[in-house]
Amino acid sequence: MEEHKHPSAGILWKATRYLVAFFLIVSLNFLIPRLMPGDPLMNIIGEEAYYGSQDVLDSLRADLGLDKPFFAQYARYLIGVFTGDWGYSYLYMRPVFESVVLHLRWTFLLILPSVIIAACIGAVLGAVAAWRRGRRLDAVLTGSLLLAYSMPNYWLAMLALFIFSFLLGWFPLGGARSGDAVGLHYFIDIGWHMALPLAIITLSKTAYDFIIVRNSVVSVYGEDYVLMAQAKGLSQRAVLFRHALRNALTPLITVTAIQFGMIFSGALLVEVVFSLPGMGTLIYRAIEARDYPLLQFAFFIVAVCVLLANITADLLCLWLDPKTR
Amino acid sequence: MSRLLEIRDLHVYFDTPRGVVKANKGVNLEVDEARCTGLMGESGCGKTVLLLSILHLQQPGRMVKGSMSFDGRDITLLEEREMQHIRGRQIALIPQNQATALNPSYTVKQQLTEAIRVRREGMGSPMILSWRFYRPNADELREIEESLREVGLDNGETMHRLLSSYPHQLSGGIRQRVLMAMALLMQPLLVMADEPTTALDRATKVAVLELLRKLRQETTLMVVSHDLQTIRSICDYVAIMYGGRIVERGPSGEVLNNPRHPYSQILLSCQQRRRGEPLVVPSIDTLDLINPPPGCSFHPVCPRAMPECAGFEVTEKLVGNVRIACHLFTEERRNC
Amino acid sequence: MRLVRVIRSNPLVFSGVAIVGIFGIVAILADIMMPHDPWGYGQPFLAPSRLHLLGTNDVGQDIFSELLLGSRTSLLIGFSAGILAVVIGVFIGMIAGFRGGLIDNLLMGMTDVVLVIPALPLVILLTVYVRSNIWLIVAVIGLVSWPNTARVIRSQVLTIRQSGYVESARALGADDGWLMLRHILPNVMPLILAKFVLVVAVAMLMEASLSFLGLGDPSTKSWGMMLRYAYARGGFVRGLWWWYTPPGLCIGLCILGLMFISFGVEAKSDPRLKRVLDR
Repeated sequence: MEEHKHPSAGILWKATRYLVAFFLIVSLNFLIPRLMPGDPLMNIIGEEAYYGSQDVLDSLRADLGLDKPFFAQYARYLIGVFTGDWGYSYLYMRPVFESVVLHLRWTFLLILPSVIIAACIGAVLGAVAAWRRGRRLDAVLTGSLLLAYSMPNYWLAMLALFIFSFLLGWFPLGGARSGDAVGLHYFIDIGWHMALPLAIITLSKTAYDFIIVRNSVVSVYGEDYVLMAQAKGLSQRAVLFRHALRNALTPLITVTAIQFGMIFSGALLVEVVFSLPGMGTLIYRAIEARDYPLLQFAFFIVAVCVLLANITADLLCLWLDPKTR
Repeated sequence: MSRLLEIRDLHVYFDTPRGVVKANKGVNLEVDEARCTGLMGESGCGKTVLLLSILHLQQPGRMVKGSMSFDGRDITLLEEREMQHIRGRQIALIPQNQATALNPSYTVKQQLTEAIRVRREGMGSPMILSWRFYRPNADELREIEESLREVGLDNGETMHRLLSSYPHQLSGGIRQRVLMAMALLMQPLLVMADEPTTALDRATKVAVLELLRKLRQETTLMVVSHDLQTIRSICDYVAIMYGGRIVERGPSGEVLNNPRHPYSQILLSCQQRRRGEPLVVPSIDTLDLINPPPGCSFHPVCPRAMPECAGFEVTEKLVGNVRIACHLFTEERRNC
Repeated sequence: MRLVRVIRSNPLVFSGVAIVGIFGIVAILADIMMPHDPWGYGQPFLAPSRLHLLGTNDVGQDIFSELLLGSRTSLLIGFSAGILAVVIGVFIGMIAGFRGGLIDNLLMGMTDVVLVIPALPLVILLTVYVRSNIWLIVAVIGLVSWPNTARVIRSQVLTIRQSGYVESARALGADDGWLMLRHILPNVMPLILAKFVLVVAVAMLMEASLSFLGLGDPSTKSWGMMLRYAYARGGFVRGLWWWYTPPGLCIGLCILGLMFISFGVEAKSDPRLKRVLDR
């Protein structure tokens, strides 16, 4: 039951929400280290640096303006954020931005293909299961995918690594590439390394998409236009894919966007298991070393990615749904 | 006059979480070519289920018993594939709810093109999600425009806009006409219209009735409605349904002017009542479809109920030109 | 009583309740059922035997006993966080749906904002500072998991409010609190249950993920923690499948049970029936 507003009012409202969310994310990164127990300086720069030399600490404390009033600190922080001063990782000894960007591409290489492949497979399987609702095919599909969805995906990753790499030796034991392959071999090598993690993430995402699509196609089958499509004499396949699934796509896109944070988090843990040099491994190491600047920026980047995913999904829905066009 | 559709002793049951709903239990009906058959009854009496069962679209309902033949062919146990040839191209449906019967994601043009393609090429090539799939060629476009003109949407200026509109941009009356155009495009032998005049305002209703009257000149028509005016103005044969059975059927003049079944009398008197007359309606809509009363479903509220009414359901008896299912008209009773 | 009937009549809910129930009983009776002290040291890396059903870990603790005790932490965190999230979500959703207007817009705007903030990274960031206390983990997970519930409850409340009977109850002089408590709450109860169960599943998964990353409470045993140690301390590399397989399987089964309940409670009858029944 959405209120009937002018479409542009809805877009404005959404844009405001995203702006507020962005601001909140930025502010959280400012607030959390200062509100948490312990010396704010340590909370900002991390343990690695905190137990270094006293001179450096004093200059850092002055530089961050920790002795100044709250709002002065906040202003300084905001200026820093918008001028690209994201913090310095004492673990990697370089600005956090550089470390994160280097790792982010591996995570993207993992997430983007899985999201797209999973959406396609999940949509088709979900639609078929909904059409065959209550039959054996539906029971088998729903049962097995629900099972796949329930298992923690980093645990599935461990199992897969154990079976396919340790026991069978089909895939490498970890990492993103081996040695110095060049040219075409470079890409084949990367594909070989990425195959298992990609499969794991795709599997759990497919399971989720399947559940969403199955439910929405089941309810679309109660709509009169599906009845009409059948009464026209269309084949069941045409009814299913052209009429029912088409109208069940919007929920899939919306939910994928909302779930993007979860997908990202899932990918982080799978990366750790496969020792891929992505964000997950970065965060894992940062936690071990209590490298707070890196963790803060990692959170910021993940949050911004989720925000972008949501905006993309909104645009996609706008394009897909004639009522908002 | 040849027989187009014949339904014998049709039983359709629905398994629901609360129990088995017997939506149709022993429906007999014949539809003759070039006539307009009306099916009258209140909500929940099984009219829509009957229409859907003819197309084998009653799922998840089960056809438990009975037989159907269409155009001289037994279609009771027809496979899904073969039914697809009958749906649309031989029996077209104008569904109940114009507001939701058009797919919200496709334009009027795309949906009408689909109807033509189905008629010409069969079920339409299978897959493809694409909403660009249906682009009419010049011939098809001309045919679409022709059909829209036939249902009274002939203002040439706005034709282009109408064709590229999405259903939510149209008014109820226009959507109803688009649905009728769609049915016509498939050139069926029988058109079934489910509540064609409900949820329309008065002026639109009159216009749609006018159209239906024109349509019945050209094709065999079956109209389901609870509205007496609709039935009276277009039908020449009327069947009245209650609780999943047809209680009375015959030529419309006889049934509508001189109803004999107690239920028909009440149903028609409600609709013809003049202002100030007392309303003689027992609470009919409380009929429990899952555990219907034994015997005749109507007897608990029937003003002329007799002890035997609770005993068993009576089969139809021919009284003049009219077939009636009521204990009041059984042989034994007439003999005494 | 009605609850018992629902559970018995729906096989999906029944099996879900059975799975979760078994884990619940184990969690409660863990102290009695444990064959060894899960904290006691012994001979490390033992293979499964009659004495140690699932062998021992890197410091010689009995894995089977760890597994039993672990169910307690995992379920406790899951259910507590679930209750917290659902209380917040229902409260916000009911008020937004019932009041409408500006309050609705503000609350839902807030909900949407929280909804786009990725939960696990935020929880990681928060717990990395506070370190190792299960109640803090509960609070943090609860505070980020409510938006979904709030949205669903709100739209359901809106639908109920627009159906006639709430209006007629109000016309009879019922005040807002009474309406919410007596008319709306009972109607959203199945939905609340379904959402609660899902949040519990998400919270359990999140706890396991946090523990796996080394942010769990080291003074407790949990399945996530077992996975971490099995992964980080050689169980995985040495191929000791009896160490890292059971905790993952337990998490998965528990979540599967919860999903069954959620699905069963939420499952509607075939929408195609409405063509017949509503008319």
